[in-house]
Amino acid sequence: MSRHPESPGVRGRNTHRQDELRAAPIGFRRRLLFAGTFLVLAASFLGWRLAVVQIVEPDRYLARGEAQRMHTEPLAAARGAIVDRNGVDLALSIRLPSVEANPRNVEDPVMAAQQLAVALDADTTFLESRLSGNGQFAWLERHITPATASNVAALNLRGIRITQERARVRPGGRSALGVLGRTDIDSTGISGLEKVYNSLLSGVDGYENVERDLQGASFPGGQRLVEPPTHGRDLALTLDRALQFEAERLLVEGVNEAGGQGGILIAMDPKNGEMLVSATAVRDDDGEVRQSGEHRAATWTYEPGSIIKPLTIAAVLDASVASPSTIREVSGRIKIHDAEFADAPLHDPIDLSIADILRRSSNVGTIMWATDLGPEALYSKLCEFGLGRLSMLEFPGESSGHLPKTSNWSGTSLPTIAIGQGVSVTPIQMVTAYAALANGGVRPAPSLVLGTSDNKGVFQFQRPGPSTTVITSTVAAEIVAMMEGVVESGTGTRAAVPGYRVAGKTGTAWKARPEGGYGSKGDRDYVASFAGFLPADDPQLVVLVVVDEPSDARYSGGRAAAPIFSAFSQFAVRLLRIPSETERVNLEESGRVRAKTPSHQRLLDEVTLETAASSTGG
Amino acid sequence: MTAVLRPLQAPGISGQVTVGTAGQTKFGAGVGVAGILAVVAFFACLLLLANFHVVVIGDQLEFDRLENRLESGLEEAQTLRNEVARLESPDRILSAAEGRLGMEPPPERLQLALVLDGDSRGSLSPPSGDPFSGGSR
Repeated sequence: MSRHPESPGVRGRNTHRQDELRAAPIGFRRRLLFAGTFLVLAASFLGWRLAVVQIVEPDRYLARGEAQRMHTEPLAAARGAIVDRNGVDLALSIRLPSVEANPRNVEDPVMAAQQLAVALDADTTFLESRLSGNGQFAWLERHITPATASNVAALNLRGIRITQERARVRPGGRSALGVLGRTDIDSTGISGLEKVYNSLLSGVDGYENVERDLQGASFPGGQRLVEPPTHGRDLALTLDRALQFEAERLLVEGVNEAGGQGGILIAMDPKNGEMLVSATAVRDDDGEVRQSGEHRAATWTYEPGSIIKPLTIAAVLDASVASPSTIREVSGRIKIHDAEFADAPLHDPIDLSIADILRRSSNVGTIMWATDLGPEALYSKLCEFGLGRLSMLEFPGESSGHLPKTSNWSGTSLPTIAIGQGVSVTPIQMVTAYAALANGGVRPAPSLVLGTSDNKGVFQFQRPGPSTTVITSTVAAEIVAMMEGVVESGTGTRAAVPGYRVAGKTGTAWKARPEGGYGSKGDRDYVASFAGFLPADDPQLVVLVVVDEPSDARYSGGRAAAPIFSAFSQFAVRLLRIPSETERVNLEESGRVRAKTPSHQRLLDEVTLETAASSTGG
Repeated sequence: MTAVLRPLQAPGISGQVTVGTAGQTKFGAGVGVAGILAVVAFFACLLLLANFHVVVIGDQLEFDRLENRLESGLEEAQTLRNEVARLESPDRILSAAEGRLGMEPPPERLQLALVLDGDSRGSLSPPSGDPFSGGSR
């Protein structure tokens, strides 16, 4: 009997195995050793790789993995819309189809080009050259209509793809194009307000960083980093779309009737300088007069002629050189230095008050009073009216006009500048100067932008530029009264607006020739204009109409421009709800209802809402 | 005397073996049950996890779909906004009136009054006759 736990049998088996190993052939032991060594080396290699991957270079592999599954997708910011003062869309961005090609995948470029030319209404040779390239990408046509895109898709051509792109569209066509400006194919503003406010309209692009599988589906619970885009702000203009359209229509019609080469119509609210209309028409090469894509109201300069006379007379009155009733003898001609100035029609010497001089648009009378005023006083007052310097519009390509300094004046500069020759102005400068007369002598800063709103609709008003007091309100009222006479019985009777008191002034300026000089009698070009405002006792609308190179039959401001002023003003007073003389009688009487413009109504509604909110403590 | 052949066992050892076998059986059974329960629980958890994963994937797909829908909805709204503005534009209305509808501008325009006595909303009377009947044209 044995108490040992190991039985003799077990011991025998172990001993036997050891004996077998000892007895194993040397080849087998070597193989075993080799396999063991190999396994150890393999394990060491794996361990080393593991250490490299996990400890030495983890960032590299993390980045590699991330690059494989993380996809950064740009989130394009939507370009803000441009709307008019009533919130009507003038320009906005939508997605439109574009056709692109991978020329390497196009099987038969000639056949494909022929088929695409029909669908896209494009040139076959151009398409063929695009499709025959060696590259992997080529645009064939961008921003096409959805119907055209369907036609292209129906062709089912290999290597041709339709993508969606943002495009800038103007629902009103070419209306106000000069003011709005254009964008390039990638929606970047290149002219007009699109350029000025490009950064504000375009916003800031965002991006999305998403974990995606090979099929492009996002991982559930995976990483998703989103930097949302800051969409562009909507730009609200001071323009009124309906007024703008009618102004353009009447201007085209008026320029055609006057046989002119072009024309400009600007309307402004004299109280705040907001431009309600800025229309430009030009005669194209084909002889048709159309709305222009150029904002000539800011970029074009011209010699204003007689419409500068109210400014000259205002300077005379403001300097107390004379009063409206001061009378002096005015001859039909006057010679200053080597130049002779005459009135049209020519007359014998007569006694004329200042008001008569303005009503008859007497060159000689104006020159005589300007001479009494002196060059320095005239120059500084014209500067105060805003002539010869940039307005505060900050419009691209805006001209400052040309008002020479007195040190550069010749002996004939004073008389010529006093009657609006030898000085060039932009239509915006002129309409703003007239706004000063209409606004009690205070010149407002012209503006085209009311404000901006974000994509939540929060509106931010644009601070208007500073106003400048140019003349006293008394002098302004005297000038207005004199200008009423121009429309009642002077050179501007065709500018009358039934039911309204209108103050204004005609201008018929000689147009300088590119080669210098103004031509000779019977061979002259003119710029006809009319500037005025209404109602004369409480001006709410200032309008300037300029017709470039009217025909000889209708070359004067009273014949070419004043009728356009009248037709436009009759429409504008209705649209802007400016009551007539008879409508204004007992306007404030209870029970009388005055129609409002949509923007007035919106403002009133906002005030009502705010009042209700404040009364309820909201 | 009768000799009985018995296996050679120490009494102490024999007793320990008997007691140890019963305890091990109970313990083994307990471990077995616990193991089975653990396995069942493990698979139940796996099943739950799989279900949860399915739900998450479904929701994620739904989320992606909603995002795409929102984006296309916004684009559609913008397109419709453009269409409304185009249809409302005076240029189009004038072209349609003069072209498709064959209308002509009136020789004189009738301007509506701006200031009315009383509330115009209450005082407007209906048009007399049928302004849309063929006879009135």
